[in-house]
Amino acid sequence: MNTARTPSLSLVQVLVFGSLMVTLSMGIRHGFGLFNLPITSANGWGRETYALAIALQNLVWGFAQPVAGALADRYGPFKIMVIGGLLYGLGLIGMALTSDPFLFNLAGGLSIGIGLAATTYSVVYGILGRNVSAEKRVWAMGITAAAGSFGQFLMMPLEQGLISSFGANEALIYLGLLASLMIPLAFFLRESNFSTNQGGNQTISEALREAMGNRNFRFLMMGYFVCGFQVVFITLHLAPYLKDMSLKYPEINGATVATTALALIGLFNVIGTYYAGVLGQRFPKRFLLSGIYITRSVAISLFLLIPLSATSTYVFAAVMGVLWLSTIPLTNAIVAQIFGVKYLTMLSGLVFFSHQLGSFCGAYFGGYLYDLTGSYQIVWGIAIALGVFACLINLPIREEPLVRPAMA
Amino acid sequence: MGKYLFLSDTSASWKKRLGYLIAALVLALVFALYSIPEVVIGLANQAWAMCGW
Repeated sequence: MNTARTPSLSLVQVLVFGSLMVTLSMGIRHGFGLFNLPITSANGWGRETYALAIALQNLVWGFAQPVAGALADRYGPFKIMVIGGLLYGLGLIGMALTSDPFLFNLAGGLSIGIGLAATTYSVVYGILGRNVSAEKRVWAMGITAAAGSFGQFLMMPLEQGLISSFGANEALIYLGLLASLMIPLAFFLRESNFSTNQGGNQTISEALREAMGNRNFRFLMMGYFVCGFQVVFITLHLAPYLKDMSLKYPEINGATVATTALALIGLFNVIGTYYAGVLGQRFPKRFLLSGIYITRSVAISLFLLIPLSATSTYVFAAVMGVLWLSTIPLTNAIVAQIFGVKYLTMLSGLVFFSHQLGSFCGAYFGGYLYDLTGSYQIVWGIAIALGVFACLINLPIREEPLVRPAMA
Repeated sequence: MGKYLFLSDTSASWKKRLGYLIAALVLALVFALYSIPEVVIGLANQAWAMCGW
């Protein structure tokens, strides 16, 4: 829609450096759970101190994403990514150096939360949108999403290796240095002809009003909420669920089954996100999204109905892995298709905010309802029902560019 | 779709096939990292820490 100007970055440049940026930003944060026990025991804290910092980080990330997007659309993503890389690196080093819970929350929660908002998918997708033709956009988004998935898959064992070799604090400093590589990467993604005047005269507030008043955008936000709910619920609560069920099914007891399941989710997530982009070029994205959500519901249902075993857990993990982050390129590509690319970073950030609300609900209600009922059955049921809802809500989305009066 | 899918495109160049092969090898290598005992223990500890939330 708004691709009239000449791209200032080549396809290869955007893909390589955008992917590296997302690999680092998504990858480093994925292993934060590994630092929980070593950091809390070294500082003599309870687990809630560390958990609060990570919860704060996710909330800040969700709230800051639309703001970072709006700033990137206004001042250009380069400056935002440089600031983000700096805050990400300083946050990690701050986590290593402080033993004060308040400062730890500032570093690990606030600083890294803002750093994430400035360096992850939404900001990179804005650059992709402006520099990749509409014909290749979903495919390119799929490649970048797959890179983020690969970062998550790769960094978990690497961070564990760093902790084992150097200790948690030194590992955080190394990760801080690694995160600072995002600053030079941002230079390779600098758009020399970035202008706020591209794609019409619409202002940020007009774009916000337009999107929030648009039925298709609201449907996308609702679907993305479900994605966040399911993914975070399974990430946080699959291992405890397996532990509980191991009383009835001793075969799934032990760390190996849960670890292999997490590894399989990571592995198949890379493949799933890549092929989501490939298929998104060929088929209507709303049908693919509907298919992903309904397949998640079917997979969860079968996982609960079939007698639990290591094999059924691995198959479930592989299937969920394929469907894990494959919603990202498809959802963002529809946003670009409908609203154009001028405010893609902000609008992408807004749908991501909805994703994070879902993530919070998946994490919180997973634990709350378990404490209330002593079982995960109700939350699994909610996850299935939400999947059906997201399937239905994506079907009526119209993947057509908006015709604006001034541009008609 | 055939342009990108490995198995369905008869005109896929050897470079593309090599790319897929390298990607598969890298993924297999990373997957193998998860079987290192210290990683298994670290992830198990992480799961236990989550239970404490």
